[in-house]
Amino acid sequence: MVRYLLQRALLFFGTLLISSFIVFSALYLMPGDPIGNLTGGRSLPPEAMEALRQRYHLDEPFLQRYLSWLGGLFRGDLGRSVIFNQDVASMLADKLTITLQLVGYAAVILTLAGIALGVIAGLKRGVADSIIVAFTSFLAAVPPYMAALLLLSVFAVGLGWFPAIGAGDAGERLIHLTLPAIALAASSLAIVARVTRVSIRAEANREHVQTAVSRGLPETEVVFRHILRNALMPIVTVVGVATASLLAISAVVEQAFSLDGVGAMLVQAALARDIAVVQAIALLFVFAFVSVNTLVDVLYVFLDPRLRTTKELA
Amino acid sequence: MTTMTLTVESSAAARRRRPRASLLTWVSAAVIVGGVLLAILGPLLAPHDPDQTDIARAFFAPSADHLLGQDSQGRDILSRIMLGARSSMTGPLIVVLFAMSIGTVVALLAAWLGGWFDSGVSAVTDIMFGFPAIVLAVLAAAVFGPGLVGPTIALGFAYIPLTIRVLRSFMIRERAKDYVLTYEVQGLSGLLICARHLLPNVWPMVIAQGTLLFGYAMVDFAAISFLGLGVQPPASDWGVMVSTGQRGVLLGYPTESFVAGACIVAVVLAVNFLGERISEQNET
Repeated sequence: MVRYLLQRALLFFGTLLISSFIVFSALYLMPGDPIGNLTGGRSLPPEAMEALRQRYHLDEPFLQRYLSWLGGLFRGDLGRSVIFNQDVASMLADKLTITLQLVGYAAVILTLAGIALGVIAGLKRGVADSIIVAFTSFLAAVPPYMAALLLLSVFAVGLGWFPAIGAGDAGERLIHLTLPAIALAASSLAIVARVTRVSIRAEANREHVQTAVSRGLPETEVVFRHILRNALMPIVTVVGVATASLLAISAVVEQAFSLDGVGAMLVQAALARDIAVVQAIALLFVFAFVSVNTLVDVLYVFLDPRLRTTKELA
Repeated sequence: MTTMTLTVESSAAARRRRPRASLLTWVSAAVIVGGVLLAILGPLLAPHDPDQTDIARAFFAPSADHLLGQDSQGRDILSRIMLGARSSMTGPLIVVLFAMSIGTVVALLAAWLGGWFDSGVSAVTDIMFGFPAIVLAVLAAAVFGPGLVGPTIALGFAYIPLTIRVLRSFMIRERAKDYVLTYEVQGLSGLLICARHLLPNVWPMVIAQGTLLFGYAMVDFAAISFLGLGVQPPASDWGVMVSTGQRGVLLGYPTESFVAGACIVAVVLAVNFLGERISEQNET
């Protein structure tokens, strides 16, 4: 178990180190000189240029610059937007709330709806199963931007049940974020449902379940204690991976619903070629993605008692 | 599973063994052929000039002259769809060719050499998985400026780890088979065995993987264009049309977005289905 956890920790830090290096190098891959790229081609007063040069340590060797940038990140210094002349960290603060609410909402939807659909399809054969399989096949094929536009067209513009754009005030946040969260969760929900269905079906056919049924245990107890518990591992994996990838897709959904979140900010910064902001947010996304994945790997140890005693498990 | 008898099968016998293609296979093939034909002949077939605006006829419903209606600027949607096929499909194609050629070679090397090289490749692919393709593409768009170049490079690199991971496992399985060992004992060089025997045998899996990858790449490319970082308007491109049609969606005229989106979904579904069929048929 220790070996397993150590491996995960190594992978976690290795990923962060390499991705931070890629993100940092991006600035130097840009055609033209770094200072010109940082200002986005705008001419700044000489003292501002000098401040930039010092801030980015442009007169030091590449590796040293990378290390001091990395050190800054650890101190919470995410860099400075040249275009808005503001610290990236302070720009992020309020946008992060919207994005986290959106992703959290979507994660709840994909977990509950995905597992529920999967369990129903897995336990019931026949019509219910076929309908769910057809429905999830459709969902899995619809990219997030199309899901967003379909929902907008039907439920916001057509039926008028939900607002079309913006995140609304704190009180109306839930209703404003409902369509975006569904659009964000849709395709991952389908994958969760399918993995759950297969896992449940495989488990339901096993001997210990048939024994439990023949002993006359109530159905709910059989389902929850004997089927679901054993079928949980692949489900946890797929929910974890799906949740982790939500953040990267959130940019698309925020764009479609005009939400003022981190994803939208990333896109605006990329369009304006505000490279410091792009670097900070890209790294933030990678960090969140890797953290969730690592968390899932660690969760295994608690879900599966066998992992705690087995020495070798890669 | 690992015991493998050496069978020599004539191509006629292999053909007989293959199950008959289903209706869905034919539909998928038709969609792909149609898409490719549009990509090649689109400009010749288009009934109207795709860039000809006519503000007075904005959002006009389908008519005999404009079969799919007109967009927010009165441009003929059908013509724009026909022209859009080319840029919507070449980007993903370049990405797939790039990622597959590098991925196949690295996977083959890892499977053949094993040892530290294989462990190293596995570690690097594990690490690279932490970088979502879309984020890498946005980063590239910021570096190289909006357009096709940045996202193509980024997605090309982003798909390499997935390719390696999938193909490596097939190649390791193939490498352990008796016929490979036999050739090794006979003293054939590794390069010759790989190029003449091993690679041709796993080729269907490479094709299947490339087909599936095309679907992913198409969805991601359109996402990048939707964000305004890929192909730039007013160019005719399905991803761009999904994006520019958004104004119409909010005004209650969703045709442009929906038709372009339907084209993307249709091609993606078709390549996914065919890719899965190919890998199912060649499962050993």
